[in-house]
Amino acid sequence: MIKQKLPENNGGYAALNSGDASYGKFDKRIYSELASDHPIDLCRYQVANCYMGRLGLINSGGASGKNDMAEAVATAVINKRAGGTGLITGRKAFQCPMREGIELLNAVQDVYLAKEVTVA
Amino acid sequence: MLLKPLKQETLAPKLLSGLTKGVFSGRLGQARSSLAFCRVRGILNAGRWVLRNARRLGPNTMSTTIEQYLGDKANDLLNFNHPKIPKSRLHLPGPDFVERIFGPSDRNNRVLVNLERIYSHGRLGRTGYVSILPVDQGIEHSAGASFAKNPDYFDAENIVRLAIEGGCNAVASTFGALGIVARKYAGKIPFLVKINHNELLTCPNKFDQKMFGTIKQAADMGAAAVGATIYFGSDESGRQIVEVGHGALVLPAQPRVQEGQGLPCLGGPHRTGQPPRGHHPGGLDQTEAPGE
Repeated sequence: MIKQKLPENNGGYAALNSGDASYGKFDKRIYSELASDHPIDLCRYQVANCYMGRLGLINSGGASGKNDMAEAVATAVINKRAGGTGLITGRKAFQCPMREGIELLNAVQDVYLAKEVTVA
Repeated sequence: MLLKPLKQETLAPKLLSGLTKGVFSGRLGQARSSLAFCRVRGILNAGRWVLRNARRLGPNTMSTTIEQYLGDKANDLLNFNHPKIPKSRLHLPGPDFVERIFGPSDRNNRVLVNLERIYSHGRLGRTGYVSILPVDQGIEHSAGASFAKNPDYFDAENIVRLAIEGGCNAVASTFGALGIVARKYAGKIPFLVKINHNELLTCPNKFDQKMFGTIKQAADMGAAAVGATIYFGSDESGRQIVEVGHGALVLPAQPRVQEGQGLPCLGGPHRTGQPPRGHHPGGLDQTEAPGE
């Protein structure tokens, strides 16, 4: 299983290969044909890099803040629709009263249980 | 299940708009006035239907709640349907995931059993999906930084209880936190022991993942898996890749853990390039059952 944060930036290879700079191995089609700027596409690119889903991709939830429930549910929807395997949610779940933590974990799980939330 | 209680006032608009549209399209040939009448009648009927069926609208309730949480992003996230890489190319999660994916692999039987333990547990058991509660504390960073908002979790038992009562597939934490309650809980929820950590007590801070225990120790406490982090792009990533790849080297006194303890490994790169100073770098953590 692989755990990553959801992608926050895009275009790193292009930036590091601009001008005379050289970094890693780069093909422009990474950004044009294999992914777009849409969060589900970016997450799917992570899934593709886990042997096209053979190794489950779980995304992490990030720090606790003001809109934890909304952010956690959005992360779950993106991960599930991208073809991911689930969420690993820590700070949003334990930096609050236990009852609220349980509700948050359950809300995330409900995304994976909801048949209407499909793989894109 | 701790589903949100059904809220009719929030459920109704979605159903109404759907039903109203149906009424409209079925009556397009009729005069405008009768359309309006049908629309009103449709709304009334839909309202009655909602009230009548409110108690058994589980899935709709869930989806409405999800839409509410997504807010402005709901349409973009729920209806996006032109991915660059089509889903037909993917191996997707499902109840048979362990057998379908790892059956043909080189993973040994103990690893498969432990993977099944994780995939079978909790509210997402046997769906192919997983929900994991992770908590780092101790040498990684002080407990106070994590638990100032709820000091209950200074006590490691409460971390495990939150994972159990929250319906998670597994709980991920340190050798210390999980070990101290292992005999009581390792059989009640799969443990995923994080075997390497950053160490943020040194000043200035370092960004390096060091092994804090062995896969054998994790297996001995009854864990179902181990987890490890690699800071890809950091100065030490080469050493971390070797350590994690070998399935947990290396506290100096234990030169090399025997492979084959039967634990899968969950891992992840924190892929950030050189980790920024003064802030926890994102990394890739890998989880595999011990034994890989």
